[in-house]
Amino acid sequence: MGSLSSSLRQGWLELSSARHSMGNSRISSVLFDMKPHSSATTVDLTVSLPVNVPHTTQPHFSLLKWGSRGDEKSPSVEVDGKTPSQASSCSGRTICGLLLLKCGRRRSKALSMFGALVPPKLRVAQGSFETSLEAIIEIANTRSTILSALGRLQTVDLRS
Amino acid sequence: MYGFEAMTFNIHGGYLEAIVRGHRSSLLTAADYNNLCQCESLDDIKMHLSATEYGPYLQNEPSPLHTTTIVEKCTLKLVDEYKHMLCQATEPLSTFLEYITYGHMIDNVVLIVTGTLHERDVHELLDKCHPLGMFDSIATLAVATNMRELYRLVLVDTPLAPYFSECITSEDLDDMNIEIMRNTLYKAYLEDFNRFCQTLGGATAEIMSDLLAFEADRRAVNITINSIGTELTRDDRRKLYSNFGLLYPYGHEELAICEDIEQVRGVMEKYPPYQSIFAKVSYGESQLLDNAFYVEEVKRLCLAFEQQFHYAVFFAYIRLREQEIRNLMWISECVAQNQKSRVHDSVVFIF
Repeated sequence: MGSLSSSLRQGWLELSSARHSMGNSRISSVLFDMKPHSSATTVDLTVSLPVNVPHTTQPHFSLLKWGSRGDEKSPSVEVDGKTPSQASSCSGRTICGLLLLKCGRRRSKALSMFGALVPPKLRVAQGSFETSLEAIIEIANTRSTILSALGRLQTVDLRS
Repeated sequence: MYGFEAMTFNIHGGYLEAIVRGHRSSLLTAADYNNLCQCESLDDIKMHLSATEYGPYLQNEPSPLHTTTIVEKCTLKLVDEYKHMLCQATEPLSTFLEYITYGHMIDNVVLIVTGTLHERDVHELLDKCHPLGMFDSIATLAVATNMRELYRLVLVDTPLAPYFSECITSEDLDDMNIEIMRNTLYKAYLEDFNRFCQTLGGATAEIMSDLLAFEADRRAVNITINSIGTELTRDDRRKLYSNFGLLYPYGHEELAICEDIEQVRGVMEKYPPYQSIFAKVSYGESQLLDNAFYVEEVKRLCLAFEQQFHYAVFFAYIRLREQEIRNLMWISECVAQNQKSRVHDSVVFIF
C-alpha cells in the first residue's frame, strides 16, 4: 500500500509539474476526449475453482495495458497473425519488439489529448500512474489469495 | 536616435513607465515566498496573500479554496493592470502592448479548436481561456473543421490573420495538425513582434531583440525535446523553429536531427549563454531544464528594468508577473498535495 500511495502522489505531483511548465490551458480537464473510444487499458477477471475446496472461488485480476495480454515482458498478443511462441526465436524477438513499439505508440496516443508534442514530465506522470495501476492489481490479487486461503482454512476447521 | 530617448520618451511614455515600475516594486520577494512555502493549507496561502496586492482579489473567495481559484484571481489582477496601461497608452506603445497578448490569443484559439475536436462544450472551453487572449469572435471557432474555415470564418478579422499564411490547408484538424498550427502561428508571431521592435529602434529594439531571441531559442529546444519519439519528421520539426535567435541557423540544423536529449545537450553546450543552463541540469535530469530556462529568463527580464525610456519594461513586467503566478500555482499545488519538500523544485525567485 505504501508503494501505491507513493506512486500516486508522485504521479499527481508530476502532472502538476507538467501543468506548471505547459500552462493551465494545455493541461486541463476540459481537454479530455468525450468522443466514444475504447479503453486502452482494461482489467481482466478470471475465476478459478480450487480442486480440494468445493464451493469456493478465487478471482485473479490481470491488467491488459495498451491492448496487450499479459505484461510487456512476456507478451502473448498476436502480431501479424502469429504469437511469439509460434514464430522462431529470431522472429519472436522481432514480434516482441513490434509489440513494444505498438504499446509505445498507444501510450503516446493516450497523451495526445494534451497535444501532439508533450514534455517528458507528462510522460513521466503517465508512467507513475501506470505503476500505480500495477500496484492496485497486485494488491487485489494478494487480497484474493489471502481470502481464498482463509476460506480453505475455515473449511478445514469445519471438517475437523 | 538611440541615446536621446530621455529628451522625448516621457512626453507620451513617462506616466506609464512610472506606473509599470511601481507595479514591479509590488512583485513578491524572497521573504514572501519563504512565508508562503511554510503554509500548511491553501487558506494559509490566502491569508499571507491578503497582505499583498492580491488581497482584494482573494478576500471574497469562500473556503475551501482550490489552486485553480488562486491562479484565476491572481491572473485577474494582471489583466486589470494590463488593461489600465493599454487604455492609457498611445501609439506605438499601444501596439506594443497588444503584441504582448498575441501569444495568449494563439493558446486560446488552440484550446477552443482542440476542445471542439474532443466534443467539449464551448462554454466550458471559454471559461478556461486566458483573459489576456480573448477576442470578440472567439466562440465562433467551434464551427470550423479545417484551417481554411478557421481562417475564413473567424481569424481573418483578428490580429492573428497575417500569421495564418504559412499554415492554411484544407486538411481536417487533428491532434498533430493542431500542434503544427500552434507552433507555426507562434513562430510567425515571434518573428513579427521582433520586426516591430526593430522598427521602434533604440533601447526597445536592443533589449527586446535579446528577450525575443531567448524566447525563440527556448521554444526551439522545447519543440525538439517534445518531438523526440513522435511522428513529427525532421523537416516538419525544422519548419517550426523561428528564423531568428542565437541558434539560427546552424543550431537549428543540428537540433532538427537530434534523436535524444543528450544530443540536444551536445548542440546547446556549443553556445556559451546556454552552457550555464545545461550545466545546472545533470545527465538524466531533463525535467529540471524548464526550471533552468525560467531562471535565466527571469534574470534577463529583471535586467530590462536597469535601463530607462524604453518599452521592454512593459514586456518584462508582464512576463515577471506571469512567472509569479506560476510560482504561486506551484506552491499551492505542493501545499494542497502535502508535498512541501518539493516546493523549491520549481519556484523561481524574482528578487
